[in-house]
Amino acid sequence: MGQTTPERARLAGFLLRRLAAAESEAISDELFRDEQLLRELEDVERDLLDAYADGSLSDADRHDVDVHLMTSDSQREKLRFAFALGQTSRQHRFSRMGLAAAAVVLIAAAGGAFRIARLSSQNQRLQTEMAELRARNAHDENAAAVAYLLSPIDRGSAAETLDIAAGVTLIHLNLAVESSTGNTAEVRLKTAAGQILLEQRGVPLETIQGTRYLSVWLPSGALPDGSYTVSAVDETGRNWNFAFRTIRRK
Amino acid sequence: MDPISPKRQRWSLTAEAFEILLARLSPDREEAALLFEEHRRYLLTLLTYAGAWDAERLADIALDRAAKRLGGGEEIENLRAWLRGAARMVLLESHTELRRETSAAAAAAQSMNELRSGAEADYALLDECLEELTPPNRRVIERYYQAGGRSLLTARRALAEELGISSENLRTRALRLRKLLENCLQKRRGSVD
Repeated sequence: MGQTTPERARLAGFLLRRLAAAESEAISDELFRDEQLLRELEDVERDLLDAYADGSLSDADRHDVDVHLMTSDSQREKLRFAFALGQTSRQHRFSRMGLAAAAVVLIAAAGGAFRIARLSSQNQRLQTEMAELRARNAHDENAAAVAYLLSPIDRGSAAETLDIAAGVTLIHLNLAVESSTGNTAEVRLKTAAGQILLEQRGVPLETIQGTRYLSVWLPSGALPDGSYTVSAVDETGRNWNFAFRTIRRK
Repeated sequence: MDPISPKRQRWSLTAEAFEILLARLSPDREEAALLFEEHRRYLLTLLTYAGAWDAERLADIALDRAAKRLGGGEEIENLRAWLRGAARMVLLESHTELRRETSAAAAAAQSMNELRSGAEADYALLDECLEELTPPNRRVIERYYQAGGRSLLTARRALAEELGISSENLRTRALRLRKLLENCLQKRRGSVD
């Protein structure tokens, strides 16, 4: 379920029937006197059901939700809504973003410089843009993509300056995450003003010559001159922050 | 007092009891029906949280008892408080276990597949409901529920900062919007059926 306060964890324990009998009975008694307590439990239950719907509950928690909370049609209706809301929200969010939000894209071109790995079906604009770039690159002897290596700023590195030549159509960011022991990470790229340009989950970590990297591809047009920050969190909870600014050569 | 027998078939509120309660809740029938549904939902949640495995049946028994009291000419000053007490009584009488058996979990898992299918059927309807929200509200609800897992709290904190409000206010706003969507979905399902 993620981070929570001790009180909310206690109430979740009550809902999932994990508290000691005396404590559970005390809360149950209070429930019949205090309507505010019921509202707090409803709030905790909502978080449990949202976590269930987005797949982030542990197997044990999911089992206990099934057994102790899905006990009537009205209870199952709450979970059904959580599934629907989570899925619909994610679909709407992805379709409104100007860039790919759910996949890493590598493009195959003449000379084998790139390859297509996976493309989100939820972002039609990206599909169109990448398809056009792929068609162009297929006949272009000069690489239209440029790779940059970024080191975390909280490891002592300063913000990088990415010098982008005219004609570059794809930017490949390699984020160094040396100490990660995870397999995937969530990556978020923002402008200096805090606007989220890119949000990807499940980005695979790659190891190249002993160094761990996350790869993010973006159409060059997505990064006009300016400053940007990137944050990455792997599934063990470790996080890294990067910063760069882009300057385009005319 | 009606006995609570575990062997009893599924209970349903009698039509007469339903009418008595509606009359007590409001002279306006539509308003009365909404209030009745609200009380029933409250009892269902209360009984579920308190460990009842057959909350729907027990909730209807509590409501039936309230109707019988009112039908007999007795006054109930605070209906909600009275229903709470009645719910507690029916729960104790039913000698409900606090833990279900493993076989119940298997049955629940089976019905979960049906539930997921039902949720998929809701997507298109919920899409329409989302479109009815104002663009700022739509973005709030999408971003509030888009992130998951470990990044959930981080994403929500970031959203609150962007909006210039506290996390608590964001939570309240998201909850209000969620309830609007729930009501909208119920109405749309009703018009499709």
